[in-house]
Amino acid sequence: MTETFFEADEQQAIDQYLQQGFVSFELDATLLDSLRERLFTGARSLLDLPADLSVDAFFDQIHTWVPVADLNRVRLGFIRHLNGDPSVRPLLYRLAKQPLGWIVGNELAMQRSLNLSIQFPKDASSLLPLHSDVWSGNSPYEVVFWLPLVDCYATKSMYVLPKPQTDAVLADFGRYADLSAEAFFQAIKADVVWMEVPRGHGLIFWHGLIHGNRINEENDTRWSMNTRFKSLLSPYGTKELGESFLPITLRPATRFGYAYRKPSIHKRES
Amino acid sequence: MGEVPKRGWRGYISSREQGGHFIPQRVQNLVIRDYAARHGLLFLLSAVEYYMDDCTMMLRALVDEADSLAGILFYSTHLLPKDPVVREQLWQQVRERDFTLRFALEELVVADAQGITAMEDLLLVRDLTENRSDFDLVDR
Repeated sequence: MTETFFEADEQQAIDQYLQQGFVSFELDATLLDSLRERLFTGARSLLDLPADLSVDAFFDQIHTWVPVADLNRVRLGFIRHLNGDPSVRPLLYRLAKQPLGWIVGNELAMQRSLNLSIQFPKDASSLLPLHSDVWSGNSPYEVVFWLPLVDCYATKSMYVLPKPQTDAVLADFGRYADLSAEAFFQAIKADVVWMEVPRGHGLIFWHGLIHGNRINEENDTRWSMNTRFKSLLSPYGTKELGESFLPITLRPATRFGYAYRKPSIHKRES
Repeated sequence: MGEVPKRGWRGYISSREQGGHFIPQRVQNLVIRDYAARHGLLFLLSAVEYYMDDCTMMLRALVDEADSLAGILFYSTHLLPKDPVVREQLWQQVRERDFTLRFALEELVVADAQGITAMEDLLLVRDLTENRSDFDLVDR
């Protein structure tokens, strides 16, 4: 008889992650709304918005009030606002706590700085060409919690090259190594999957997957956050502990184990 | 009444390898100066720790100066003493006086008991992941 330790929904998430390199899940609506409200409140102090503007209209239509040339300044203002609020990182962790436990574990390190992507319709200035985070020094033991703040689909979302296809590219990397990012994308375009993640859902993906985004050809603005997590005691990349990651859930058994000293048979001098 | 003179921050850099890297002193000082400028800190000259392994003589000298400083501006958390007893002397300054430790590379601050715990956790995990891959129970 085979022993089974994972529960059915946990096993399902693990299987999907192992097969594809990503898994989506439902979020606690109250926590998500609270995060969106914080950004909306921050926006009111940063931008001159109509008094009767709804939260939904703000997120979908922000391109109506902010010119593209001003987007990066505004985005950095939001990021400062988020990073200045000590309750946001714990809130993000709570949003993904269960699937993180399933995919990574329960003793975790979390990325220190919070990021925010805002991609206006037709804007070519906020693109992230195809890449894998591991290529720029992140540890392959990390995952990304990708949190859309609006409905994300088609080009308003991101694409990933699923695990089997990413593995195939990496195994034959010499074939792609001399290509431009655009030519590389064209070479794998048929195999990429556009993440359909409606608002109220999140995604955990392995950033070793080849991924990126393209010009948002839809009518509304894309908003998303991405935060990296890793098992606390797994190897770190050049995004090091302290500089880029901090422990968030160090468990008592690890504290006891670390503090343990082999008893000495020699009598202590008094 | 005259304005109370602003207390300064003494930089602390090292002449030995840290975290597996050898960082030129000039680069360490650039990072510290940039951090001090961005945070509006009055930066005093840096003390350079001696190159002998685990030596903390210069750091101890800075601790002796604690009364006249706002705190110490370390280049990095990698410069914290490995010896918990020596670290405790630093933490004592933080707990008992208006004395703060800042770490320019990581942009971390230890200003109270909570900061001390967070820093000790970071050092614990770093030690476990970098130096104790085997089941090491011998005295350190």
